[in-house]
Amino acid sequence: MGSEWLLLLPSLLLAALLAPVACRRLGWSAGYVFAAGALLVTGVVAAGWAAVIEHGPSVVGVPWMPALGLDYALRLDGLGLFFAFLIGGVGTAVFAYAAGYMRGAARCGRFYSSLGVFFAAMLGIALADNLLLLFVFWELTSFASFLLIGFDHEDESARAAATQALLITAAGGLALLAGVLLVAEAGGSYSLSALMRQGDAIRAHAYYPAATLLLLTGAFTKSAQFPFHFWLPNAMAAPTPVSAYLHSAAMVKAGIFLLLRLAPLLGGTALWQGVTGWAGLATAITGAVMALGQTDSKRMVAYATVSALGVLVMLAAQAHDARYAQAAALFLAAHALYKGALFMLAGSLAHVTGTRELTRWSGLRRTAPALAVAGAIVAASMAAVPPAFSFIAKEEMLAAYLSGPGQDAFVVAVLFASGCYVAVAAAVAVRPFAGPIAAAGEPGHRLPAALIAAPLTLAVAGVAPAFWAEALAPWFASTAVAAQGAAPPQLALWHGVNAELGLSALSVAFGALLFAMLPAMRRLGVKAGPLAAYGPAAAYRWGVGALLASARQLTQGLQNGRLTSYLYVFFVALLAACVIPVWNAIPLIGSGQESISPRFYEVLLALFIALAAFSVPAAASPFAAVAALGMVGYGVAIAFVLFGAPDLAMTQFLIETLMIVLFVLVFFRMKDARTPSRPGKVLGLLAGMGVGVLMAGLALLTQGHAHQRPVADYFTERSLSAAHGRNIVNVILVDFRAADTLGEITVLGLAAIGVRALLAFKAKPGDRA
Amino acid sequence: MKSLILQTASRVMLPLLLFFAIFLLLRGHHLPGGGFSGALVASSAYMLFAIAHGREAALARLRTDPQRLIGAGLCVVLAAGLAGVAADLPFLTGLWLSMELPWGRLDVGTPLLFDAGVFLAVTGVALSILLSLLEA
Repeated sequence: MGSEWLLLLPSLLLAALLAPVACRRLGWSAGYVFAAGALLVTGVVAAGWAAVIEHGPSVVGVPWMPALGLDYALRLDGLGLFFAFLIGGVGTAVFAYAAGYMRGAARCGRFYSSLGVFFAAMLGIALADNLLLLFVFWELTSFASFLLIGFDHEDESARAAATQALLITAAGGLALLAGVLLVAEAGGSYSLSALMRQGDAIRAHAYYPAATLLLLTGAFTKSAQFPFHFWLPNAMAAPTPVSAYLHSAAMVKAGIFLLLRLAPLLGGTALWQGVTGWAGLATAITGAVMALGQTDSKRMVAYATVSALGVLVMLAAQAHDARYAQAAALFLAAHALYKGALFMLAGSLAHVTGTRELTRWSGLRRTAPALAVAGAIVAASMAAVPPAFSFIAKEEMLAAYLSGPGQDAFVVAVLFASGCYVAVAAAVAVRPFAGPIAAAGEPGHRLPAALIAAPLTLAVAGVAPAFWAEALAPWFASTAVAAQGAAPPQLALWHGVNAELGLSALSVAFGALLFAMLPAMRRLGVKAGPLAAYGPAAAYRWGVGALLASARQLTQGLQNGRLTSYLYVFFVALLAACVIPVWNAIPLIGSGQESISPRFYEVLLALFIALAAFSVPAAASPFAAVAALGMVGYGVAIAFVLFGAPDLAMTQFLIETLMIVLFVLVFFRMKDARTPSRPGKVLGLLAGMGVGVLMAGLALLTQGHAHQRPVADYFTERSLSAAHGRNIVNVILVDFRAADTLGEITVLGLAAIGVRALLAFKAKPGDRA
Repeated sequence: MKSLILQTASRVMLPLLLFFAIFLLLRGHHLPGGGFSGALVASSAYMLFAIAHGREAALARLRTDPQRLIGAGLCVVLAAGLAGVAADLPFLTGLWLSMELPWGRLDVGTPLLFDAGVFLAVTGVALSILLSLLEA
């Protein structure tokens, strides 16, 4: 097993990105080219699988981001290659089907690109050894699914369904990442191969429960388990090829695959078995029941898929045991094949009749006789009737459950679900062809060959392997190598008359009964409609709505366009951030310097400044407030004079004068400026005082706590000798720190230009001041 | 507001204040003063004139746009800085010329040019903002 496997995924991604080029040449028929490519990939995977059966699993990889622990490492073993084989095989049929189904639609390049990226990403999930790499591909499939569900993006329901699927699977992805991080911490590595040897250590670790629950959440959201199941029926807004691939055969199976992969690490404990088992059971029952009440063909099949995923999750609960692991692999394969075929069949029938409603499909055996054959085969497969491969899968499932004690609930669930599948199969794949010829459909509308060939091929593929069951046994056994115990060594169509056969017959009979009661079920479904207001879907809608509403309120509150509220937010945040450090440091105030003995005129000056400052909010008009503000400035300038800073004092006097002029001009322009109300003034006073006290406190704190020799000494020494100047302040400005001054006048220039630009926009009447 | 006293006074004060501004600029290196203070005095001079006679009259006396002053100031500052580069020294190094005059030694250097650039730029900034606000 060489490192040529590392080239597989990058080349597939590259091909996917080049799809638009192919579309420009061939249009939708490029799908046949991609189908050929997918077939090639499937062949390569099969060859690899055969090699693994002979030589055992192997890992190939190169480091990618060692600092993060992310390696581009692939694990080539039975389970991974089996899943990859399935992805490739069904993908081939889907590409060919899409070439026929989508003809005439727009955005061909984008469709095949997204589908190609999805194809590559699914293979990445199947083959990844590094858990972070798996997470990257996991999210990539969510993203591709978003693009594909929302492909018909002018349709609002498609957009909503795509967003819903993305939000749920991406939230699950986040949980997955958290779980991966915890597991890697517990097991000491991100590599699955290494972690599989650490199973006992991981299960005993303190992080185990949290990691398990997070990883299970990730798997459950992807595989539409209860209560996250509602995104799957809504995803039927996607074109049929997408539904047939993503939402029956590939993407939703990723969660199951993850569970099978993780079972050797995390499985076998009460937590795993309990949560997984009961979640699967709930999903299986819910999906089956809801499928019966549907009249839309695609939604019916979607709910049946949800139920089947539930059954798979039930099996995964025990997947540390090889019997269950193999049974899961068998059912996974069988289901992928017949469900994909069923979706394609439904799509072809919808194409012919122009509607998805089952009640309007009747007597179609005349319009599409080949499809009728496909329908019969698919129905046999879904009903798990011999000689379908799914019959073998079901027998193995029941055998595994019957081999241990206390599994009665699960056995009943499997039988109930199987019965419902029989009913669904009859309703979607048999009933439309039988019965009187209905008026729906355009006579003479010829189905493209692909719309018949693809479902027929998949249907046959779901049956044919049963005849070679014995030869296939080692292949399926290799998928369960990591599990404990031994998988049953023989797969056969006929094991003799035993308990499993009896139970199967029972479920088929039950299914026939359900089919007969289908109209009553549908009426019940309509009556139970209002209950959906309490379901998980409603909870999702409420949650998203609440999130958007609160975001809107927050934005409107904080970004309301008024300068005063921005300033308040700023000041309050500043005070909140500084209050604790300053409080802790209060004892230090004044500790670093000699005692202060103020002269009387300094006290007078301080009182003058304080008086002027308090007059500002108390002023009757804006102009009076400006005058008071000017007084404060002049007071500060006098303070500069008293303390021997003539340059500062001069600048302060001049600036204050110009500021008064500026404020007067501003208030003159703001004709409707009002002085704030009483509460507004008090609030402003408090905020101002708070910040003032904070600044004074900081100034007092930093006095006398110089850590280094003051810079002033450096400048004093060199001002005359090196810079030929006695005015140290000026020398600093134009010589020592000339670069700073350059920056400052640049900023001033920009501010002036900004002010001019703002003033050039004349406010229209009605704008807020 | 057209006050006759203010109009007459400002007509006289303008050149006087401009002289004072340049005086402040030139003495800045050894005594309180410098480019910023000089610029503010110059801006006050023009603002006084503008309040008395109106914006257009003040701009006419200024003879250019305040924005051009900003640009000119920045160019002068850059020139002062690049003078050092011409002498193979780092940007903004001060170059000094020492001249022996009858009444003593006179040192002339690029920091004075720098300060003059600051003077022009800050005058331009202040006048740009204030005169825009005067635009009724």
